[in-house]
Amino acid sequence: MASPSQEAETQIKRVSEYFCGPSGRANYDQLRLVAETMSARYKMLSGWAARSGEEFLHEAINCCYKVDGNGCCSRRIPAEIPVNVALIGIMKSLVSHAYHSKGRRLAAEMPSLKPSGDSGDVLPFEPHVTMWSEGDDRLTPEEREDALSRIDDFMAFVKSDRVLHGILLLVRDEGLNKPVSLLAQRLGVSENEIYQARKRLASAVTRYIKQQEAA
Amino acid sequence: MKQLDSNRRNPVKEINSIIELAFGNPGEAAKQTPAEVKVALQSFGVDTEAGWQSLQATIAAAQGKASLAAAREDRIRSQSPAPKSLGVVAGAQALIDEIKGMLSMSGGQVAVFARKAESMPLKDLESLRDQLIRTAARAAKKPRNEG
Repeated sequence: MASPSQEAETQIKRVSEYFCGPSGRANYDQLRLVAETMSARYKMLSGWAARSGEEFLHEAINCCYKVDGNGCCSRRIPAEIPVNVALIGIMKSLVSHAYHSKGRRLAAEMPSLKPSGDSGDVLPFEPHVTMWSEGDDRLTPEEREDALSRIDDFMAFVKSDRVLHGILLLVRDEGLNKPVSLLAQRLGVSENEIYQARKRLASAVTRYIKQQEAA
Repeated sequence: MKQLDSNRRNPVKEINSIIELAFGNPGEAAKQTPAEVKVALQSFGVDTEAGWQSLQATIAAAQGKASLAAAREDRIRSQSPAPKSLGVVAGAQALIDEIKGMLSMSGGQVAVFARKAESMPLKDLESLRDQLIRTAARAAKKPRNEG
């Protein structure tokens, strides 16, 4: 191994301290959740290829530790960027590479990396902003068909759950996924039922992903 | 409910929306409190304990490699030779005494040997000791010349 430069040493120390301090475990869990969410999107888009959030996160961390022949880390984290923000950016890049390696183009919008450093605005994800427009068609017709068939398949999977199926129809047909009050009004149920259905959706997606991976 | 023309459907947005409804989005996940994170991870059916343990091992290895490499770099930078004095190597003095005994040296020879031995690497000293043992064994087997 090449001797790490002063900068690389500092980076290794920074990353280690992020996970070794008193809030190290909480930091890890939080990043793991981000990784799992990214992984779930990736699985949905790539046809259920099995790569867990843990793989993405640990690979990102290893990139920050790996020192190349010049003594520099293979992924450099500028001093002004917080460790968590940088790791999320690296994970996003890894997800994108994984998608490309399957000969597809990543069309999922992942949160972007901002150098502002403020944890409050590091991941500006606006759910109302259109994630895709017809003028930005990055999927081939075949890929779209593939994704659409997965959606239809998943919707058939949850058809027995009336409220959940209704929510998904609103998402699919009208792009409507919030606010809860509007969803409740459209489906003629209480807001509480919408919240309960959302919880069921999480487990339904997990079950469906596992079923597809096992198949 | 109005069904849009299938050509205008947006599968990526639909997938993103379904995932977001189910698990939130990565941006929001990064802002959640530890308690919220715990609940959300449960919805994924994920136990992070194994991953956490594995990360600790990775960190320890990375820190170890970095400090080793840094120490080597410091030595090269300061151009100080690697420590040679056997005075700091545990067990070296006992080895020197053992060899002195084997050689049956005089006082002057012992002083010269000791001075040389202190600048010898430990492995050379061990090699010398082994060589002496072999020589002694050969001498013991050799029949004495009685003439």
